[in-house]
Amino acid sequence: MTRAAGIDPGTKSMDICAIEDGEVYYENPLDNVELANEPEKINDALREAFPVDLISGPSGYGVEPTRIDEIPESIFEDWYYNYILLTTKAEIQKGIEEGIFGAILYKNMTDFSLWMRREKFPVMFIPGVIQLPTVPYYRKINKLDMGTADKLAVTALGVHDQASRLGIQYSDVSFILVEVGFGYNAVIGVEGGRVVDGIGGTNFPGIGFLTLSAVDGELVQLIGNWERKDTFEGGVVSVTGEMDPDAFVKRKDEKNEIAFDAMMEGIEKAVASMKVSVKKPKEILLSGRWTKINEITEELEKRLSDYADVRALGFLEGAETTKETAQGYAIVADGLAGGTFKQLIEWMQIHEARGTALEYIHHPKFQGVPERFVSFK
Amino acid sequence: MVTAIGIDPGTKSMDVFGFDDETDKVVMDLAIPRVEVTKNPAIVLDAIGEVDMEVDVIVGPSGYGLPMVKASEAKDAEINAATFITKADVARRLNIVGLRELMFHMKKSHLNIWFPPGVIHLPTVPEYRKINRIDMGTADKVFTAVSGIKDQAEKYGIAFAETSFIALEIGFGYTAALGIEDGKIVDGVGGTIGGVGYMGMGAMDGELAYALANTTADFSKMMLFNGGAASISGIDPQKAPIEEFINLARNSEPQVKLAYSAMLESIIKDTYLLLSSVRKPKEILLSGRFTRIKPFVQDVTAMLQGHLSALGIEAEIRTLTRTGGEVKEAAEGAAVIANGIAGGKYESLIETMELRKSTGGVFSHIYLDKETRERIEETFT
Repeated sequence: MTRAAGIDPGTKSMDICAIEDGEVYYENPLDNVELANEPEKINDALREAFPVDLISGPSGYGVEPTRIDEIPESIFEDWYYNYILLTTKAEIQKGIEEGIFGAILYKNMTDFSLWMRREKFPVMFIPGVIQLPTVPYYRKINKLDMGTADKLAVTALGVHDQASRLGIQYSDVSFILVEVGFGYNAVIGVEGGRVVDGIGGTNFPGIGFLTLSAVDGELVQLIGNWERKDTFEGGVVSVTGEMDPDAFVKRKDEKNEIAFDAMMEGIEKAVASMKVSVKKPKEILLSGRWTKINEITEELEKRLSDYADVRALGFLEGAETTKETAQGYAIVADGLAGGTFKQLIEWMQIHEARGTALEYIHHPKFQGVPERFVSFK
Repeated sequence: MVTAIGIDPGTKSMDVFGFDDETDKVVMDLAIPRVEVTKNPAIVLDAIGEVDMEVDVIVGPSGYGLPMVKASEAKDAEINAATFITKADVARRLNIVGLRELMFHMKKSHLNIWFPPGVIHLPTVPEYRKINRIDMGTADKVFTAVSGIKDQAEKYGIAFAETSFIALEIGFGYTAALGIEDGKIVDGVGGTIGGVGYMGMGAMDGELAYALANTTADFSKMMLFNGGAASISGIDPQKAPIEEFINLARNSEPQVKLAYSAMLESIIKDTYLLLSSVRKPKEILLSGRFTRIKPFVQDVTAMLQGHLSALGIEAEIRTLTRTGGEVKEAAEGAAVIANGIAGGKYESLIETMELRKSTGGVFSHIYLDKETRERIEETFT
């Protein structure tokens, strides 16, 4: 018997999902606004899921599978900021002083992970798409985010979902996963049951709800002092001023209409370009908070059905309230612990992922940046 | 008879092309090295002055573009925005400084010179595609689209308004892609929003933007000319010819092959990005310095054919027809626009494209906070 838990740090909520022999026995989605005020709530929730053999900790941009006790406690905080969140403690402190909500979330994630380190919990940090050996190097060039750890986790759920639903081997699985989240969107390509390409939130060709996505290099040069918070802006909310998803999808005025078309066409462009890497996907699988809204699902089905059959990503058995990404996190933990999903994780070569997100930049100005961080291992 | 001249500011050369529309005689076909123009921008107008005939209209270079306007009527702020650059880069005297000075020379000139729009100024591109974009295709990319529309219409004997294609401009600096439907530009992937180019890295991962901006005291425009295939392969693009890059890649030199693979796949992905805007293109038209090299065209064509046929798209893939000997296709497109402005035989082409209805500014579609937008306008205009 294997019991495993996943902790998914979403933009809107932090979800805990725990499974035993492949079935969900504990779920708890915790609202981030509440957690910002009462961060200890996550600690209590996690203990409710115990005992567990392995936990997939909130892994941000992803690292090779790394047990929490591999990182000395003395450098753990900096290590987490540097490699999981691709930032520094000083930058986050500055963000908190400026009242930036995302900075508070990052600090809470770090504090929570540090707490798990001190409590000696069996935590593993997991990879994102860019660390996978199944993605050719040339697709990784100049990328940091090809799909964060939660996007890889939900892709593992996708491979399990298609294989079990269609009764096929992992090696016959092929799909393009469309994840439409509260902050970012991502598209991941799977062929032969393995991830072969990914377009992460900050590389996406159209706006997300919060983020402007990939940046026109000219815009970076124009603005000059590009800050972390700038990657959380320039999306639908910046275009419309609208924080209410229902009002946005009803497209009640011209700005809403423009933002809706921009976001939807961006997703279509991402799927179209992913067809270069996955020529004949069996399906396009939709997941994420926004794909539960009818107007979004209908629009995506209309736009994407020319590329392949479109369907919603299935849930794990027993799952009801947590996001698909949290379920994926639990699957990865289970597989790495040698449980029900061991074969899946090995087939996807997640256990063979190597390094960090910082290893594929070929811009000369990036030289010296990683050296400012603490040692990875 | 209309005699028209167009000027295309490429990364390596500034190309000047002229023709008369009665005989289609080429009256000017000159590529001036960009470094010479940067040293002395006036040499471009001096060269035009040596043409031994009256020139009706000249379409000048205009960087990122501005709503189509006669040079003498262009505002200084519009020229500054169309060639926006930091003070530090002005001091470095990058090529774009020479371009800006040339535009100011043109503004003062007695010649009938016009500045053309960039893709972002066109009313035929919906607003939602312009969000947070600066470069959807600079003015010279509009020239390429014009050449393509003329070329396809003449090849198939169809009206300008019936043309439809995706144009891929694979240049020394960047790769760009344009979507044309019903004879209008409807979408564009400029050099800094697409995939890996030869010198430029294309669109920037937002996280990389953050990392670079916070570790570099001076974010120069030169940063945008880096991180591409040349950087990846360790080739100095100013010393080694692009033929050497292609030969090494095809001979499987590992690092160069890696860069070549990234560049080729980026071209395919840029094409696919436009399939949501131009669903059934008649053709894929290739242009730019790289498409003068046969093995490269063979590689791109083979890859595109394989991918597009899998999608059920039967578009012909070919290089854009060139008339000039020295100059690139874009300069011919500029001259066609000049002819249209002068009321020549291509007037209906520029009307179909709605170039005269171009509007807005380079910075008009930035949906960031008000303070940021105002700072940009103040700094760069």
